[in-house]
Amino acid sequence: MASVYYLETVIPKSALHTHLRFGFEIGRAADKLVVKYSYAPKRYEGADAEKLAYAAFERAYPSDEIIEKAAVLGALPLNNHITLSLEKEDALIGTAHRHSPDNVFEIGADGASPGFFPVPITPGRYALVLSVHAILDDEVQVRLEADAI
Amino acid sequence: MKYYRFELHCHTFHSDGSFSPEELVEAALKAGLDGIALTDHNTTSGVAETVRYGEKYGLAVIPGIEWTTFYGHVTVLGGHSRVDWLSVTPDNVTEKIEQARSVGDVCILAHPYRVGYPVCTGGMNEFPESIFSVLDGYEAVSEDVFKPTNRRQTEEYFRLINEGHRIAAVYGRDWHRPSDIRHAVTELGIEGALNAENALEAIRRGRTRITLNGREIVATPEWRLK
Repeated sequence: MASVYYLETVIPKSALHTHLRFGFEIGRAADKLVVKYSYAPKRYEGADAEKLAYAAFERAYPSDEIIEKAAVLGALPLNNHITLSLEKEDALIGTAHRHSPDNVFEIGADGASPGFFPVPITPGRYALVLSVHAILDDEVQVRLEADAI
Repeated sequence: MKYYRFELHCHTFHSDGSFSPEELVEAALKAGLDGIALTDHNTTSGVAETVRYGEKYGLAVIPGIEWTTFYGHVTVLGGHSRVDWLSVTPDNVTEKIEQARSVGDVCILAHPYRVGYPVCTGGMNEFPESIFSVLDGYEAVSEDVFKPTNRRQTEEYFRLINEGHRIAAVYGRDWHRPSDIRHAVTELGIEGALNAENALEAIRRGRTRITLNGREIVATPEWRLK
């Protein structure tokens, strides 16, 4: 097993609605690539969460509709949400659209985790792409690991 | 022509659904559907297996994907195009839809008035008005039929029709897991055999109606889309 990428970083709130690419090279062919990916916090604990949710309901509901408090509370907690994609030589291999903040994915010629297509892990340029769908905290801690096995 | 019952917005564990492809097909048959579209978020990795189970159990399966962007969600049905969802932005969404349609796909705006960010990123449509000139379909009703946002979606659908847009009305359950929500179905008026391509053609031609317990609640106006 060879570690081909490791990163601990912070994603700031200003990265909302961006795709962040983290490129790396694989020098030798491998049976599979194992990607571990986690971020924290998941849940937004800010005191303004209910107010933010209410504002979202106001934008979506008909103007004459009463917004029930229970409906707003039912939308809580609000969460940070970051998804992961894998690219090989600038082509998309797949996306894992998950809500869990802690995931492990495997990609190889003989199979791949749901969301990804099987591809041979040959030498070349790869990139992990983080899509920042939601970030409510000032920053989110992210860890990315990729091992070629 | 015969009308068939479809659910055009479905997910599996290839994105954030709980169904396996086989479980989704079985659930659709149990619900009395004739067909589904698989529209996992930003991936088509579950399509081949779902199509296989559809063939095995006798359910029409339309390959698809849901472009789950930060600014709106578009279900792209057909499985012909290879647009990278990461490249879709408000500035180019009409061009990307035209690209998908040019090779035979059908594009539908999903849950245009779902409660959006930060409750559901992109859940509420924020794409420019120009998108309505290139869409094939519009979820005039989504998820729980009696959600307040559906009133706004249906009103907006008829505003678009009255402005001359040629868009088919469809329902989207946005089916992720077993649930008891009050859901409708999209009935597609299919000419010829029941299969994915003929289902897509029904949407293109506006031969669609949304029904709840067999009663029509919204339909594409025939005078618009003949």
